[in-house]
Amino acid sequence: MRNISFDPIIAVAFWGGVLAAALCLVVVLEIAYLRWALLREKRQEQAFRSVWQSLLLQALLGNAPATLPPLRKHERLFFLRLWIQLQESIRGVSASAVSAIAQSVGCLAFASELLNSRDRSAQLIAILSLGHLRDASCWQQLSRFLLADDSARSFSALRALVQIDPARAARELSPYLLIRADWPLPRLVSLLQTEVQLFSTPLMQLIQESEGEALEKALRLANALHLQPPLKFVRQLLQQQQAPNLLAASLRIANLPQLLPDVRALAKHEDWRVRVQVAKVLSNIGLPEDVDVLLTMLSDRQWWVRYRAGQALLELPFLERQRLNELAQTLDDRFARDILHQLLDQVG
Amino acid sequence: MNWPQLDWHQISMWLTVFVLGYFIFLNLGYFTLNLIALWSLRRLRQERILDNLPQAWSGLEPPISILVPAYNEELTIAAAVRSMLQLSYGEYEIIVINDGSRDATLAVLLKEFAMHEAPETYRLQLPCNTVRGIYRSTQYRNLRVIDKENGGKADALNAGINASRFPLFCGVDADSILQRDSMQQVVKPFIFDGAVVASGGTVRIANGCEISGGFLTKVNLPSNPLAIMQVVEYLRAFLFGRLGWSNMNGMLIISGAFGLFRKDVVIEVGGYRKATIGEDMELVVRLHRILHAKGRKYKIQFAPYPVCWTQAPEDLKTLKNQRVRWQRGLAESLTSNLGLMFTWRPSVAGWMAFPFMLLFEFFGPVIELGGYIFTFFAAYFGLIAWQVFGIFIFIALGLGILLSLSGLLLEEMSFHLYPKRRHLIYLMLAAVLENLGYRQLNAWWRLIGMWRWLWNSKSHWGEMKRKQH
Repeated sequence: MRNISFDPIIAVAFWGGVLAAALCLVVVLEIAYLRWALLREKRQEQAFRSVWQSLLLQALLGNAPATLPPLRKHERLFFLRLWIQLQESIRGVSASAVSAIAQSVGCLAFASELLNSRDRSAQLIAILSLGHLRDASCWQQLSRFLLADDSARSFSALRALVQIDPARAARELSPYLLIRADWPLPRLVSLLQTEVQLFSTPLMQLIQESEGEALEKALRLANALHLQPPLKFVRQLLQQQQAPNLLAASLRIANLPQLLPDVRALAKHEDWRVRVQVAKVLSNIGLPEDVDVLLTMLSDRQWWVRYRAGQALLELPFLERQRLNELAQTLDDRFARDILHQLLDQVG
Repeated sequence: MNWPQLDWHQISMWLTVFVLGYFIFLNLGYFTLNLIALWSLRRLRQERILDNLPQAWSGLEPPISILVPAYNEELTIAAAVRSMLQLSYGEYEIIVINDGSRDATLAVLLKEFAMHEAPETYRLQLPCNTVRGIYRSTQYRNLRVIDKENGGKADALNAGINASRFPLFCGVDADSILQRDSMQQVVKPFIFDGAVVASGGTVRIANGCEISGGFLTKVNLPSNPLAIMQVVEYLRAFLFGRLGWSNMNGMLIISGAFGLFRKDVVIEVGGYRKATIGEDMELVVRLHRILHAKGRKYKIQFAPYPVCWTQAPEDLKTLKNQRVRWQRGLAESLTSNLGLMFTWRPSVAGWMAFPFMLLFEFFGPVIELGGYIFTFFAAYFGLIAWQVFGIFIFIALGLGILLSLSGLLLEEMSFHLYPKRRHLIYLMLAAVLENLGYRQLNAWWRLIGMWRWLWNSKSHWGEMKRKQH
């Protein structure tokens, strides 16, 4: 084997160790600095809150102070954070009173300034603040965040715009509800519930113009907001050749008695998700003749279909518990009997 | 025939360089993960203002089945269940699986929660040992207990999955201490991204903390030195390492103490594997392997904010049992899913995370300990200079300490859970001392774990000394 001098390697290793040791020292100092900076910021914020929290609470209670202390530049973010937290918990006159304080200290100006900051957290604070300030002059500035690459800023911008001008938001921003796949349905529903009347027409229009995944999302949104698309349109959606996931989504908004024949026709669909939704619809609008349909579904090969069919039977208003117990005794299928007994025991 | 004369000096030096290189790459790997974690943490910190606002829940958040396997937990199970019943979440159910306990676990549950045996159609979607009975609480409609024959944690979880009603299930250890918003935190990845199939919660060390009513009320540092070192270790290896991998969809483990999964996907891949002691990791690696092989778009993510607290071992014997078990679990998980490595269609999990785990975690104890022992004896017998040995120790320990301190730095930049100045000082000391014996001891235990895995010795969970809260 050729003799190789390891001296360079050993030298590199040694200096690597020295570097590691030096970095350790740097890291320790950085940790110490971060802790010091955090404690300093906490002290400053506590000092700020000890003054401003009571002022804002006074305003909230209808005793807005006549004069306010000056707000120093380094206190602006503290103010916005405190003010946003309060605004998220209050409504009506109290919210207006607290907003007036924010206006008087120049919140609009420095929130608008923060919007152009490169710091993402500052932008988020600005978006939330401008939403609560409800100043229409910020509309354009906020709108550009609707297409931001992260859902936090884009969704917060949507929320702020809905707060500023709900009618305009409904007219102009409804398409974004389907474009942004990263806006989670639960959050959208929480937001739109407050202005469902304004959003119903644009949403209905979107539903009728959409297809595929967008349509499915729109239908789920409509269902969550208790919106009812036109009968003729829903009937079209319930055609058997539609994709199962679309059928299942359509069934969620098929709670109209006129749609019963279309719903019943799907009771034997090959996809169990469709059959589950059929059982749910029948629990809402089913008639006495649907009892047999549901009893048949108790023997379905899918547990979930059996479970929902059992629940549907329990929820039918015209089917008394005693009658259901009697029916349970007559069932030949063991699975059907078991699921019905389980559900009967559950409700007590 | 003349055999070539071996130059033992050269061979020794090459081996020393190899071990040195190993230590450097190991630490560089974790540094890189820390940097990636740092980027992710920065984004999360920026959104903190949103988390601190009152949350409006629409009721459309996915309902969750919380599965709690319990074996001989009579002292703590009632308190654990009570705290879970107070979780702040829309819709969820709790299923306690009494896995053939030999103590009064079942009796305690039946009495404390007014439970009665109820007829229930039990779907055998995953194989499990015989279920003896299913009980329902008359006081809490969302609480059930499955009593079954003993089969181990994996078997118990499968039994729980069979009985669960909701599309997501969360496996929680009976001794896990959750926060009221734990479910809200760990479900977020599922709400924001439909491709997520599993989400791991951050597990932190509860030793020394104040606990009341089953919830953590005040964070404190443990007083036990072993536990303090584990705090540092958890930060270094389990928190920021996993967060780094999670960003690249390469996270291969979700802690069994707290993990949220899509039920249909777990059933699709066969549920928890009974014949393994590291069932938590094995499931996640298998999820990667099978879903990747099927070409499915999926994500396995990590929720970095603390959601679950657990008691860490405070004595050497219990700690040793734990680490032996973990290494064995690692070995089983990796070797039973070798098909994930270097798949023809590249993925971070198969081309980076898996080889990383294999090289640095699986073979790690052999090379680390072997390196220390070899270089010492090589220097002793004059094959390498003592100076070389010294430099090796210098860089190995130096990099280790730097990595431990970097974990503390990330903690300080993100969560700063330990508010007191003396906490910081103790943690920094622990970050240094951890590398002067603790890591080496761990390596030895992991070696034992490997040995037992190789010889298929019966491994056991051991008895964790329980403290009643």
